[in-house]
Amino acid sequence: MGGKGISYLFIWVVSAIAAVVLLLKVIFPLIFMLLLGKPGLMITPRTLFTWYMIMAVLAGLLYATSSGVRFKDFLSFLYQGTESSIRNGLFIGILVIVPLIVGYITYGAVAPGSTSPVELRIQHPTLPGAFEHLENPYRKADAETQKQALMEGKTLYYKNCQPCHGDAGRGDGPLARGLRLKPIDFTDPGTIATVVEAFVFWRVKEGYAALPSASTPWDSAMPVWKDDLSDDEIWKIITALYEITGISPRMPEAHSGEEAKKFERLTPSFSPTDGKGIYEHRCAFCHGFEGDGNGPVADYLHPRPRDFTKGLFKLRTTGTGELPLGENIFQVITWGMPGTSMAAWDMLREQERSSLVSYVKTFAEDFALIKEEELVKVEIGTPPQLGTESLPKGRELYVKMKCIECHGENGRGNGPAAGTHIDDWGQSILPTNLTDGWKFIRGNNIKDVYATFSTGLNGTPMPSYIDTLTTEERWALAHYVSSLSVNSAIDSVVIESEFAKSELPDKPDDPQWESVTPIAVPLIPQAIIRPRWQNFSVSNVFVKSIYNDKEIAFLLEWGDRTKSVTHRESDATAWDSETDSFIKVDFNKLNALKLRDAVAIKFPVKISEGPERPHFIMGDASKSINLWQWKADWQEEGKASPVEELNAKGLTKPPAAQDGASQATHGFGFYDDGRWRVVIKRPLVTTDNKDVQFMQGKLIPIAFSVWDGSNGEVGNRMSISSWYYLILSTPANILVYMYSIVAVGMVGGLEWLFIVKNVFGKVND
Amino acid sequence: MFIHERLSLRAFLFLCLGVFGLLFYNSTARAYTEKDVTGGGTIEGTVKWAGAIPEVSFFPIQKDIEVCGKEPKLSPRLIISNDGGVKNTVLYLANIQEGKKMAELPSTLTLDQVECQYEPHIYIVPVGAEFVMTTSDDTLHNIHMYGAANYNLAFPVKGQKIAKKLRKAGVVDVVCDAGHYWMSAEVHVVEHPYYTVTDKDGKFKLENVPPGTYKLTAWHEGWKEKEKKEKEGKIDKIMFSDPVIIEKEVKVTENAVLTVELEISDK
Repeated sequence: MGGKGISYLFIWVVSAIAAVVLLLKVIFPLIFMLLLGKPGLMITPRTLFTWYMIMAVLAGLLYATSSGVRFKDFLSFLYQGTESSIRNGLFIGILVIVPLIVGYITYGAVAPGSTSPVELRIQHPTLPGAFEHLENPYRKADAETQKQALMEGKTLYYKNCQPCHGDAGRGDGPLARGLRLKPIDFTDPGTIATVVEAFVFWRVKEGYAALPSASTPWDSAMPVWKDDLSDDEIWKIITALYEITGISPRMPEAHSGEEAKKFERLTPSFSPTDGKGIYEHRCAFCHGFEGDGNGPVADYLHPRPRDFTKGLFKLRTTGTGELPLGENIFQVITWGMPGTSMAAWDMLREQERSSLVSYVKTFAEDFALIKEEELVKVEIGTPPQLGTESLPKGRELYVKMKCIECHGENGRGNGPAAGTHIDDWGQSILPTNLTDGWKFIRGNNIKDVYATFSTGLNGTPMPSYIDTLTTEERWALAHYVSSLSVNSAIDSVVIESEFAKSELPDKPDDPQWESVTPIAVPLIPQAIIRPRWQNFSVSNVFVKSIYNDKEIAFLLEWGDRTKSVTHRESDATAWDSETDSFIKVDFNKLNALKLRDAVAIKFPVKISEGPERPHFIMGDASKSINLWQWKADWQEEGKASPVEELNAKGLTKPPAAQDGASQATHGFGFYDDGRWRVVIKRPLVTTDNKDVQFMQGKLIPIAFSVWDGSNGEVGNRMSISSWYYLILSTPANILVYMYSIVAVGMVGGLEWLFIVKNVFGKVND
Repeated sequence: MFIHERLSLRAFLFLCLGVFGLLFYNSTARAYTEKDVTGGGTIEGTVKWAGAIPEVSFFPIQKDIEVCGKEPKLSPRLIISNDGGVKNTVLYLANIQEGKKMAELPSTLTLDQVECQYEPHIYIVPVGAEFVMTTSDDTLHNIHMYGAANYNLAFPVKGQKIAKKLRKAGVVDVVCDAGHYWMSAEVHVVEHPYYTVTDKDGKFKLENVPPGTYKLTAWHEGWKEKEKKEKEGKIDKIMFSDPVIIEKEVKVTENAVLTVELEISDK
């Protein structure tokens, strides 16, 4: 066997694994496509692929180690090398590096730290019997009825489902950012393509509440739509959903022969390729069939969809007030606009996107009157080398150009002129918060910011600075502005509370906080239960925590353009007259309300040993959550504590305040330059059984809510986070290092036994 | 059947109207021919206020008092003299096809921003001409145009100058977004030279008009506060009523002076 210099078995095993990859990635999709007569490849679902690959690798290893000879042959590449130096190198490498890797992994596993727990869930739970035999009534309807149902279904989809699932159904709606359990991407072949429509109907109708524990209902934001939609509306949405994604549902098993033929109409047949057809299929529901930005769902979107009839486009590489180039519109269609409902339409073919551009241009007459060559173009070019020395220069220009007037001293969108603006359509418009780079519609790299200064944003109060500043100055200013959204906060699921030997700080400006790394927690508006809220105000909260042997303290920071420290209870109930399940965006109405700013930290009352926890927004009937709510007006009024401890059991009932004796939290909030910074403190352990209790080293679910009063937020109209984890960290002790050393020793020893003794030993004989 | 016929007849009429309109649009609205005018007449007169003179509105200064001054600004939108003459009314001969040279137009091509007001308030600019804007204020202004032009230009530095071509005929509303809600100006981008603006006494004069019949048009910007956006006692934005347009047919005879009296009222 040996002595050939090449390990055939090794090559064989590797080729076998490669063959499995080929089978799963190319051959099976092709076979299924031909077998089922589909227009495209039937791609193997990602999860399935991962499992098959794990199995293939294990099978290969099992085979290689099934006998001593085979194993020796398998490993022969290690010692049959002609060059002994290569051989030795490999030998030492494996002998040293593998145990070190294992040691490192062991350290990571046993060291107290911020590893998030493994979260497993079953994506397709069993369909309840009551739903099994349901069928979509529109599949057998006549063509006219079907068409009508599609139109209504799409309107309902874009209004109700698009916020999370995105306008192309890819799970990338504007609210997806704040959900750790991501909304389903319907274009993943493992989702709606593999289930019957009755299953989708069940999921839409019953929402998160009907999910079994194995499907982690507590993390799901899927609303219980039966509260707001009729069965008929749900079927229309499902009909539309399959059409939007171009996917066919799985046929119910009962159907065969003649019956199946009726279901052939299941396959969406409508797939226009001309500009008008695609526009009316994909774009008109927001932008309007006449291109006037008044589609059926426009009133719920903020920012509103573009009105194409005025020829005013924000993103251009042409001068201020000019029409955009065709390629500018093409770019927006291709890449979408971050922070808005405008998705990236790269799923459309290039030619389809081009025909959309031509169609969009028919809405404004100026496109016909002015040729593209006549437009004043703005050269963006490439940024010069920008060192840190350009930052002070950029800051100087930021002050000199009076960017502060609108965008504020530190770019939080809170300058003295903020709040006075309207756009060319008479809608209120706020200056962009420059520290929230992820929301810049053009993008937040230096080139994008430079382009915005140079061209201005047509239709908004943002002017062009191309005539005011030199190219070099604009680059420096762009550098400074894009540096504002760089935050030291880290994106982690686990918030580590650090142990302090001293007293915990009472105030946000205490220097003790400076050494703690903040965690950035993304927030989204509450849109799971009516009144559904889509109007972003606070989109991040930065969290720090420290504890000592008596207490735990949190520092919460978030951007808010206005300080609202008064509260009128009658305004809080002003929304009861809303009949629609979503709130229309109307700043004039919102601004007139007197509502407080507030923040809440939320914990489960009981921390279960298993994965179960209360629903992430406000708990549920069986699992209560404990809220600590800091209220700006309470602090202003000088109450003993501005923080109230409450308990919530779901969104339908307002949280109940605990009685006076149980109130043990304290806090202090400080507003400065468009930002709230609030400290909340509580003893680690209380005697109240409705309170969360803290102990070291345990992962405690934690979530947040923020209310921006001047944005009309109160009660269920709030920004929310998903469940995060809090851990009271313990310093690494000697045991951790011991475990790691033992792991290194054990692996090294085993290697010696198996490889060196078995293989080398014999060869050297 | 009867209804059907009537419908198709109506459709036909509409079509005719459409075609006619298109021809009309092409032949008259677009083209203006310059020629030497001989025996041209003059149209002169006054635009007067009819009825009780409304109370003057003042806009309180809420921002940049050190630059804008602390005295509330008098509304530039409706200025009536003691004799009832209405200032800043634009008069023109609608759709005139030929006549004197564009150079004879009393145009206003430079705008200044002085103590948070536009100087002057009304502009007549020939299509394609350069409009030069500058600022004498040491504060942030922007010139945001709505209508026939959509420029939005930043003026953060005193003495700064920007020139832009106005390429499309029509009315341009100018406002500032930097917290100076009271600032406004009106620009008429015009295709022929028969335009003028009334003086402080409401007087106007259009000279060298070729004899013929014309539609003398008086245009005055809206002055009534239609909607006011306020927050915590501070004004954010005031929306004004639409412009008032009065038309009168006039007959100009050779070398004669025609006197026309026009009236604007609150109704």
